[in-house]
Amino acid sequence: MDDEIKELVAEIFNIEEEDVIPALSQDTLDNWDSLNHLKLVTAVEQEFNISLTMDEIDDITNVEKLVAVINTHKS
Amino acid sequence: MEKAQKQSIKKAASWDELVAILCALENADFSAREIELIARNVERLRDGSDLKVALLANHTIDLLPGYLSALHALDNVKVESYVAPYNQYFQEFLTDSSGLLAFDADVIYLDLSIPSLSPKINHQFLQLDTEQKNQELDRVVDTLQQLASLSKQKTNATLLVSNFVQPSYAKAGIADFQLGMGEVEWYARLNLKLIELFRDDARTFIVDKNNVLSRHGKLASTSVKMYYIAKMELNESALSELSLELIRYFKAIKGLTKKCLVLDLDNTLWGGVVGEDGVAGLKIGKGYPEGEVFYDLQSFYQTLKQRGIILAIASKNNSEDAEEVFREKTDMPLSLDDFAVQKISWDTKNKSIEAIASILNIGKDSIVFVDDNPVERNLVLNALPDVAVPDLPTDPTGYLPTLLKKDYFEKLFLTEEDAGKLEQYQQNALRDASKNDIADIDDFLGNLGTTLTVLTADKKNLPRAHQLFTKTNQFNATTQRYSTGQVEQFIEEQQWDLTLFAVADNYGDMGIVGLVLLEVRKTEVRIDSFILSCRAMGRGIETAIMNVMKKRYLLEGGKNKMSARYIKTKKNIPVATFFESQGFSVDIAVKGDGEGYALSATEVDLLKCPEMEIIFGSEFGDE
Repeated sequence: MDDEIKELVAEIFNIEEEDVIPALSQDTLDNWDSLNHLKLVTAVEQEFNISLTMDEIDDITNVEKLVAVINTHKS
Repeated sequence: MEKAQKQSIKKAASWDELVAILCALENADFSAREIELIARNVERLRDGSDLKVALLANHTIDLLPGYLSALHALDNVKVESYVAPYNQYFQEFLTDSSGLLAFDADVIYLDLSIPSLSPKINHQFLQLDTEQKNQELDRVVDTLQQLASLSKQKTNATLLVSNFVQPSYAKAGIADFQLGMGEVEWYARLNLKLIELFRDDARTFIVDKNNVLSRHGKLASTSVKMYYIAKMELNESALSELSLELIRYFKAIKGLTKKCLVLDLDNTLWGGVVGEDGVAGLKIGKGYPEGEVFYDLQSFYQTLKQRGIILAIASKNNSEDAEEVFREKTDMPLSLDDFAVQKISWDTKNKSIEAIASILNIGKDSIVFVDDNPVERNLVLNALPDVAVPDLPTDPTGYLPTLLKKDYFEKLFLTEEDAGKLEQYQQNALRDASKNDIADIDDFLGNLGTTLTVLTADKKNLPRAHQLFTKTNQFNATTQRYSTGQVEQFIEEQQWDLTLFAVADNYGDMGIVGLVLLEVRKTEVRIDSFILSCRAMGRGIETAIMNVMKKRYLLEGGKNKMSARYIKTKKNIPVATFFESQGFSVDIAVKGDGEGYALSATEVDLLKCPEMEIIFGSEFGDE
């Protein structure tokens, strides 16, 4: 996983970078509530200079999907 | 921000250390992520607070606290925030146990926007006649008046009320000005009424949000997508801009206003150096570009003097030369008399400033020092760290825009007399309750004109039902995430009763916001899911829904028991005591996860809830 994504996710959810694994999801992480989801999306869009669609934002339920969405936009 | 800087913020061991790190950052234009990082460390280190700010809004404002605490930390102020539940601004004042009242705020910021305050204006502007537009306007003004009045009765806080943002494009296009009352006029009138309403009110102040966003750029202030996803009207850059505006008020409220402006002379008050260019060679006065730059600067300093700021001079010059300039140059807004203290000598600037502070008997933290020369600025910054020294660009045309942005000199009132209104107001406060005032929460909720429409789930509304099952976290008793297929089963199979609830009121139509899923057995019914969208929370809807179900099964349906479960999650605290509050008792015989509850037909009681009209059947009312 991209170090930049790892760092960003760790920062938003206030967890250690090594705990950022693809399986980390809204269900397993208490901190991943709707407000932090909003913060995550805002930060991702700003940091990678991309614009996610509403469906994508809805679909980002775990880190694996987040990485995939970012990669689609970057390529 | 560099990674090392982020690390140092994370590692800061004390509040003072954090503030020092933040103040040393060259660029205070933080990204959303940096704000989040700073805000979290402010929380970690602040230990108490200097200012408690409560935020009430009818749109998502939950990201604002991070900006306030991060940006005000640069002023060494510890902000603690409370965000009231979405759209519950009346309830928060009217419910004794509300988070707002328990928080005991110093400042309450009320930010209501038209889209949800007046859906008619937002969506049907061109269908309304002038009278209807005026009615809507009066209703909005009444709402704010009621809230301001409640704020005084129920809290000791200073209330900040945002005014209303005129949309970027009028619905009638350029023909807006030809309408009986166009949108531009409607918003202007509304904002004017607010000014009139709060002008003589020493506890309520208007925040010119319309202007803040104009300054920033209205189109650049919104992320349309975030509005639709999360009802977030302001994007991160707008939140930052709004925070800086609010901090102006906070500074005024906390008395952090600077008292004295110390000015250099050469190239600060006029263009050129008097000792080298002579009086005739100086650039000041009207009629030519360089002269006007400094004319406008002087005019700005003079305005500050009229605002009650003391002016002083700290200049390295021969005092006779400087005096000659003021004598000879008559086309200058400022005269020597405007300066309370004049330190014109060859002393160092820090020495002059210290002398000024001692003559005026003010703290060095009340002083702002303006000098075009970066060497002098740095000298003062290092020798007197409490003095505020704005960084000026090299080009003098940039001085005034730089200084205008600063929040050094903000006051709530310009004169003592104005400030005296506060006391006057407090004496009148109790007498002042107008007939429009809201007596209590039932009064408020009863006057909303709420209608609750009870619908049987069918193919048409299945997608919405499915959405409620999967998306609702807070008011969700069991958090069962059913698939579309399962929801279809509930609709088709006899033993299930899936009932949906739509809510509308005078303000607008919320659509389907709640559902109850029951399993109907021979002698009893079991509540499998009880869900209410957070948009509809806090107004007694849940009790009304429960009454409908009690009536349907226990009072009229012949069942003798209704059972339910509460499965606790991190997010569904709002429903933790729900069943007990509805007359259910804990019942260990109820099978399944979580806590079991039951209510028998012999004990059933329809609970009192705010007045609302209950309609059975059609999803669409009169329209």
